[in-house]
Amino acid sequence: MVLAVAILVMSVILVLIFIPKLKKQQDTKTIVVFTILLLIGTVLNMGIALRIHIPSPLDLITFIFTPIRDYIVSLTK
Amino acid sequence: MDKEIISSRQFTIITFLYSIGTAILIIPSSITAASKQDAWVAAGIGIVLSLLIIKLFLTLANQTPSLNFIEANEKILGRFFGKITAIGFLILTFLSAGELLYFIGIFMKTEVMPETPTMAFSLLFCIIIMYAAYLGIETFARSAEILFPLFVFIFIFFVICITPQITFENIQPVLEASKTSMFYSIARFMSIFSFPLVVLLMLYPASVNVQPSAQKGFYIGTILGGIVLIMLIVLSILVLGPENTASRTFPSYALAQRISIGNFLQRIEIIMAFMWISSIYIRTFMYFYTTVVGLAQILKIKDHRPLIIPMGILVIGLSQIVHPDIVHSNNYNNEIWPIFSFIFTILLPLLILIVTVIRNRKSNDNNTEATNTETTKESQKV
Repeated sequence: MVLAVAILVMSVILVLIFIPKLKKQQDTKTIVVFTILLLIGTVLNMGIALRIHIPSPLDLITFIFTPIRDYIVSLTK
Repeated sequence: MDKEIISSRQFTIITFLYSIGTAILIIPSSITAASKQDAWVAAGIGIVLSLLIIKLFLTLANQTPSLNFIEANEKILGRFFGKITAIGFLILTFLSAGELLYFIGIFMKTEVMPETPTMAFSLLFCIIIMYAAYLGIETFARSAEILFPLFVFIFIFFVICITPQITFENIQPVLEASKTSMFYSIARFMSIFSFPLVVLLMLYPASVNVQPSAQKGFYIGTILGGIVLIMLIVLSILVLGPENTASRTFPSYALAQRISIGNFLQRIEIIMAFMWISSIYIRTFMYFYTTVVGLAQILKIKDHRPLIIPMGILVIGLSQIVHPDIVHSNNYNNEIWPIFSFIFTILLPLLILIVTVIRNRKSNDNNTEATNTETTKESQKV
């Protein structure tokens, strides 16, 4: 719990440091991308800190490529 | 942002350390599991075949001398389709960056500091990577230059120290592996050693100062890296034996633990660990840098630097969830990764090359505008 709050505080500090700088440069696209990435990263790390089970993204890739693998294995047998 | 240029010598060194990268940690066990004591033959064939792959990469790179790989995707495959392939490629590099942080964490946790959580290692390692990405590739290339002589020195020292432990019975009988197991071990070896070399196309044509000698450097770096890997595989088989090598997670570390000269010079494996930590640093940086710069280029953001910190936080999180355990990681690396990486590192450059050739031929007799749309449609069928 403490860890999750610490991660949240850290992200807020990052936003406070970076967003005003980027605003001065009038770089809207960077601000949007920065915010989205930071949001995903913070949520992910808070989930890890709270020990919530998050499925691995590689499971999706394994799911996509398993038919191809089975096909190759059946060829070599 | 001004353009950063590295010399061809630095490029050779980066290729050398990059090709060793993760392979030094996980390759000996995974290919020895498939083809037993003939693993070194498979590695040798794999290195010869990788020269062909490098030829493909270089031919592709020379078609677009001023662009890196992500920009070439968009330029050649068209705006829409090029973006899709580039995003697919970036997913590959992003997941690999997370995976490498996982490797460094699990390696330190299982072998060196068993009570520290992997998060601590991933975090510290990622801070270095983020800092290097912030300073840019010139600084990174110089750091590779500093690491290179140390790496070579420690490797030679390592080989000399382990030689007394060799038993030649371990490697006999030679050439007993079946064709199928040979095919699998070559595929596994190449998928980790030579397929990811495509990431170096982020550096090669656009930000290398002398391109012809950098081409030579690409070959030399790969061959030298391959020699280092073959020696490590041969030594693990000779010293540990094929069964023992296959059952270890990190055989090269177990190899370093065996060093004992006159019961006096022993337990120096942590000095040897410098080799894999430094080469994994090079590889993780390249994946991370490609992800950040590629994302900025796809979204047409001029400066990639503000994206480094959020991306770093994301990669640290990814490293914790990417593999729940080492079995998952072995399954993925042995069975799925060769196919996944083959699609984005061999088929994609091949597709781009074919489209470029068709385009060049058509633009000679027709006007270019009409052919643009046609070639994109054709490429989707390929």
